[in-house]
Amino acid sequence: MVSAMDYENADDRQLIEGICLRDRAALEALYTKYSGPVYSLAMHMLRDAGAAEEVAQDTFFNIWRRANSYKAPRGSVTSWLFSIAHNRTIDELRKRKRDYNRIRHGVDLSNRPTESRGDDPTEYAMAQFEGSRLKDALTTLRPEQREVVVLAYFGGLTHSEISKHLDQPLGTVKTRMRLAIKKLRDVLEPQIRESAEHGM
Amino acid sequence: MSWNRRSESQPSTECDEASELFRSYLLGGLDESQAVRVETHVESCASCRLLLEGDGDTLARLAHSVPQTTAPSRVKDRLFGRIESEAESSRPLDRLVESWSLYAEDVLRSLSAQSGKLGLAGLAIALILGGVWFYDRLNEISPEQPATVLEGDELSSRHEALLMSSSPGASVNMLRGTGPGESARGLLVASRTSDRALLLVVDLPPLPRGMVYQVWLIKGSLMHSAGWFTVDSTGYGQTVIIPVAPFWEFDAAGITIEPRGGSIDPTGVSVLSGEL
Repeated sequence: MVSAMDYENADDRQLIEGICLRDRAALEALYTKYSGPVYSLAMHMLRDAGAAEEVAQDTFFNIWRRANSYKAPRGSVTSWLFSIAHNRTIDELRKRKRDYNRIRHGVDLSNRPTESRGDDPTEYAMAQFEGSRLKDALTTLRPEQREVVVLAYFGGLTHSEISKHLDQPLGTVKTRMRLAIKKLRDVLEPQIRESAEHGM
Repeated sequence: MSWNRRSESQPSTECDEASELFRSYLLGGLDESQAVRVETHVESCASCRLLLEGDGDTLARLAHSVPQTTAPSRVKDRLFGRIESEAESSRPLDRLVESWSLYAEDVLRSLSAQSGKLGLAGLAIALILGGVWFYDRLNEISPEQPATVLEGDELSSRHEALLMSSSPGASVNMLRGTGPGESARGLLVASRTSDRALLLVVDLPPLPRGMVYQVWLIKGSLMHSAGWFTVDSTGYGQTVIIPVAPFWEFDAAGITIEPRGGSIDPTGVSVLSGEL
């Protein structure tokens, strides 16, 4: 085992190796590095501090438990870590949508959530998107491409749900998504490269 | 159904179909079976793997770029409190798991000196009896354990794996040593009622830091990674395997030496193998 200080200059893969060896100092170093962005993502999507705290805690607890399942050849640690955080946030988002729908259908009208997301997922997702530093990158997309990315990423909708919501064929939604991610990748590539050089 | 990998002689339609799903996969929009199909395809297709990596980094950047705020300090306190509490509460179960593993290891080591069907049948009976014994002990203590013990994924994995050897549909498969692992023996215990299998190995040489033993499940010409493990100074190791498809659909299993973190395809020397 090594101390937290020894992990100060460790890269992400070394931190995961340390976590695989059940070294809490490695988890602490990873937490220090990424808890802010993970919490911010959950907060941005859920607009609920308590739920965002739960998501952040669960994300790092899952990493502690499942560090062995990280497969380096499939992608970077950040890609893996944020996919865990994002999936956990989407689970929470969907759970809330189910609860909200149940309330809307009259199970308990007296307990309507005070932080209502509104009836329109586009409106809600766009609200999450507003103020994002990604706005510049996203505005390079065509409006219909931006719409599917925002609905999927920040709104937590599946392709089928987006297809239904926009009244567009599933194939069209998939194509828009593919072109949008490709475009975003081109725009964000320099930032990603720069981050990689700085060990993010 | 599975997709084939892209190659010079093969049209890329399968890859196109798979890559159509990458964004949904990364966005968490696929159901479990679709996600498994994507993972299976990516395991065997280098060009799709590269594409998925690039898209994953792009989406990670999306996550990193929302307005930033700091997580309250209580999140960290709760996280490490949860880890500490799990470690404390799991100790009685860990001791039982350890005792069952020692028992299985003894049986396996004794079999190393034998050969033939009688030995394997004896081993299966011994492990089944051992599993029943273990399960009885586990049931005795379960009601007294805090709920977190039984909810823990890691412990429930061990729990399920140990139950396999006492379930009616259990299959016990022997792996035999080759190359540098010539004197090693391995045992895969799987159940038709579970999606997991337990692998036990003895007499494998301990590896240098940075290297691991990687498990492969083989179906036709395709090799599927099923995780990796290390052994202790005596050459004993164990791990729970969660295959990408039902265990009984695979033809064989093998173990190779690979860099820590595992490889996409086998690159190192084979040390154990056996038919399933």
